[in-house]
Amino acid sequence: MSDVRVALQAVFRRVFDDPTLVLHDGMDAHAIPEWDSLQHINLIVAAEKAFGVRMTTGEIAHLKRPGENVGTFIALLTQKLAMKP
Amino acid sequence: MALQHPLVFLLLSAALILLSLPSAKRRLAGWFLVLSLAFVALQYQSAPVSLLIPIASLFLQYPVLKLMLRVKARPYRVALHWGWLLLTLGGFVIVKRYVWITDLFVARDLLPGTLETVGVSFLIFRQIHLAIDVRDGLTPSIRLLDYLNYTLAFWTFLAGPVQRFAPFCEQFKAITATGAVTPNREVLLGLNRALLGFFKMFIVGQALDKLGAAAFPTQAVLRAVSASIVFPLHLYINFSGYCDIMIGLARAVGFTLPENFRHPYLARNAQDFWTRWHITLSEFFRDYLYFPLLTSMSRRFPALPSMIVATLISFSVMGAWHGSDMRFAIFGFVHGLAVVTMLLYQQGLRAVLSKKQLDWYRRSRVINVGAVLCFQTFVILSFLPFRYDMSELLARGQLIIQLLGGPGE
Repeated sequence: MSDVRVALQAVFRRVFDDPTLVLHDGMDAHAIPEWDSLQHINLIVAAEKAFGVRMTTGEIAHLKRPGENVGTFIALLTQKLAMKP
Repeated sequence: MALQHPLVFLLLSAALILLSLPSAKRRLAGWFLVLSLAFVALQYQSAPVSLLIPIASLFLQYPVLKLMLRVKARPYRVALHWGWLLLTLGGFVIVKRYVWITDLFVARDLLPGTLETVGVSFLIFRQIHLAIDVRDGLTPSIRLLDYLNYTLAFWTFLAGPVQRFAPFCEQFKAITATGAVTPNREVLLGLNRALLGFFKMFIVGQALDKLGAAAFPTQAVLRAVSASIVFPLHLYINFSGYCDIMIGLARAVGFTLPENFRHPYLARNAQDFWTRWHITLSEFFRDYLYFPLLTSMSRRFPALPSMIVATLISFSVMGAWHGSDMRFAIFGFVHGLAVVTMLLYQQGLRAVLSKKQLDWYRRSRVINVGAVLCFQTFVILSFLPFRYDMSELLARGQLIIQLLGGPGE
């Protein structure tokens, strides 16, 4: 399991208060009933803190669109980390 | 110009036939623009000067978008975006005569007279979405023809649904590349949907209109209650009927437009309601106002007050977008309060119930039915200020208090 996935899983577990939660790429808001708009932002802000990155409005909105999932989230974080100075 | 006008009806029929032809599908972008321009021109037939509003808005934004695409440094793109946005929103509140906002800055005598602004509110949605996606590097290029087709698309110009740029262009590209004929089943399903829309708008809608205005029962209380229920129902039937027509027409020629309604009368709370009623509008405000507001506040302040402030602001702005009268902003604020109350209630439930109990609570039919009945009563009440003026509302309130055994007048 990649470092990004492990760290993001810890963020998910903390935000959703579920220590048994295991992330997989296809997982989306339908898989976690508590993943509503409010929790989406809690996730974003917690991930920003954990990874030391900043998400833009377009990216945050993009992650909530149909078809987007944990896989997209990990890809975006990986891309942002690679661009970090 | 209303949808039932013979010229508009004729244009929609012509669009249906033309866009079904494989030869037209290979030159889709050109034909689509001709149809959209004709549709927009028809809408402004009675006030051609007002047509300058959407034209100016388009010719202001496109060069700004092109410039943002060239500029590499994000701070400059952000500055360009905010400059354009402030100019556009400033123009919007002036031409739509939001006097409760403009009074703060400019005398009413200096404002232009009443102008026709058909489709302008929805045009701004598409423009803001494009501007943010370009600013944040999510849209790498925009051709003028795609831009005009997207912003002026005749089937979403009047009142949505608010489609996003990427799926719009992807569908266009796919259909143009193959020139494929839409399968018969899709054509029939699309036409069926459009027919259902016509039935809802022009048969059921008209009947509800008459029912709402009629002296239905002889008792004043029953008349007040029936008229109050009929009003939001009439709104729903009319708007969802319009969306059915446009979604159906698009489907019959091979396009998929996003859905705008999903049984809003079954919503059990305010958050649920706004994921069922005018869905694409709620999603727009969620993505481009609520999310950025909540994110920037949550980075600095505790989560709970951030959520409350961001929700109330977002809902008030969404309400205000519906009309220049201050009642609309108050309507939004009241719905925002309902969402905040529901979120706090849910947090409370999570704190006192175990996961198993919470699961039972969510699945319980009795609780579901009770919640739907309570919340739908709130929806009916929240629409009342648009149906009656204040004195009428007070008189009807007194009647209901009398009915419930209170002192009344």
